[in-house]
Amino acid sequence: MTRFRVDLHIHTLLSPCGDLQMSPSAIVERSLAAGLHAIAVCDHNTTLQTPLVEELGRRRGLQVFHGVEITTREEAHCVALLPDAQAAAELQRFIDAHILRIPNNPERLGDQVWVNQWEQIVGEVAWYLPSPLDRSVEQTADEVLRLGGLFIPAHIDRPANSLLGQLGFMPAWLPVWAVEYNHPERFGVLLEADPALRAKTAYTASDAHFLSQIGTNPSWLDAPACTFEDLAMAMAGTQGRGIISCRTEP
Amino acid sequence: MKVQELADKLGMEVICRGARFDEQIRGGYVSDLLSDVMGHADEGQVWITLQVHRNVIAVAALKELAAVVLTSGILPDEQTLSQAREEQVTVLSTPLSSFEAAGRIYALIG
Repeated sequence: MTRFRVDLHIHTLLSPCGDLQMSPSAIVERSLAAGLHAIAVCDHNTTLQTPLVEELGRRRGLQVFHGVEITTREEAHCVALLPDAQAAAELQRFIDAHILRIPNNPERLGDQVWVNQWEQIVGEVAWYLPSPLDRSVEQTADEVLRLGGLFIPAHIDRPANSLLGQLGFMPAWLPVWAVEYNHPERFGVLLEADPALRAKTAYTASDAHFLSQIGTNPSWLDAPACTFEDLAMAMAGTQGRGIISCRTEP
Repeated sequence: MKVQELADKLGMEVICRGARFDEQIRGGYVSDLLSDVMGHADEGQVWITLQVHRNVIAVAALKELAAVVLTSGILPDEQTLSQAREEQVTVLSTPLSSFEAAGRIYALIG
């Protein structure tokens, strides 16, 4: 087994809250500088910028997973990690069909532009990306799983926009591959209150919106290789693979 | 009715006095989902909620709402408060529940 350093939640400049410096090439360079072996690009409700990050990452030996941070009807943020570009494109069609289209206001809410490899702006998304879908968390999870993806409630220890914050509890029947948290202390408090949460695989990620945040809250993937299948097995805790974070890292 | 009058009549504490304090209120909206307010609230309405996240202020400013009424005595944290001051959004506080606050405000301005 090899131990891979991973950051499974990074935004690009396309997310309105993402700094304009978060271009695909800057993300790749910064990730490598931070000693990461793999990252997941998770913009709000869009995958437009990810193929370029993956392409640039591949050239430099950085594994880039296709991800997206979906806002469900309950305003809960959930990360979906997809096996490939095709699955990501299909999930994008689902998102586009169900998202509430509220016009963006770049001055107040942030720019939503995407770039090519030369950092030239090639497009702008007109509707506010973090708007919710008209799908529930269960419906969203079902779709992600149908596409062979991993469904992970994002930053569950955060009061705002987390599944626990929005619903007050983790639905027992929800097909969760793992939960993502930000702060070990806050997460520890949640575990005290909800023993059922202990049964879930949990890991940290940066949720980076600025280059300096990339790799600041990493996790470690123990696997023979750093493929999507290894990641899935690690979250399921099968075949000797695992994913650990600062709480449990020796 | 102006925001100031509403605050007086219902004995609401003025947490932050914003730019629209002396303006006429055009209605009200009750929701704890920010996206719902972004999609459906109208300019000049008072927003009744118990959400105190700083994004509440951003949404209130974006939608040009008359004021935010925080219910159940829940107070905003420092981040939300400084955002309110910066954006000049009026924030009022009441110990009433959202149900009671909405009922009374509706009776006054509905």
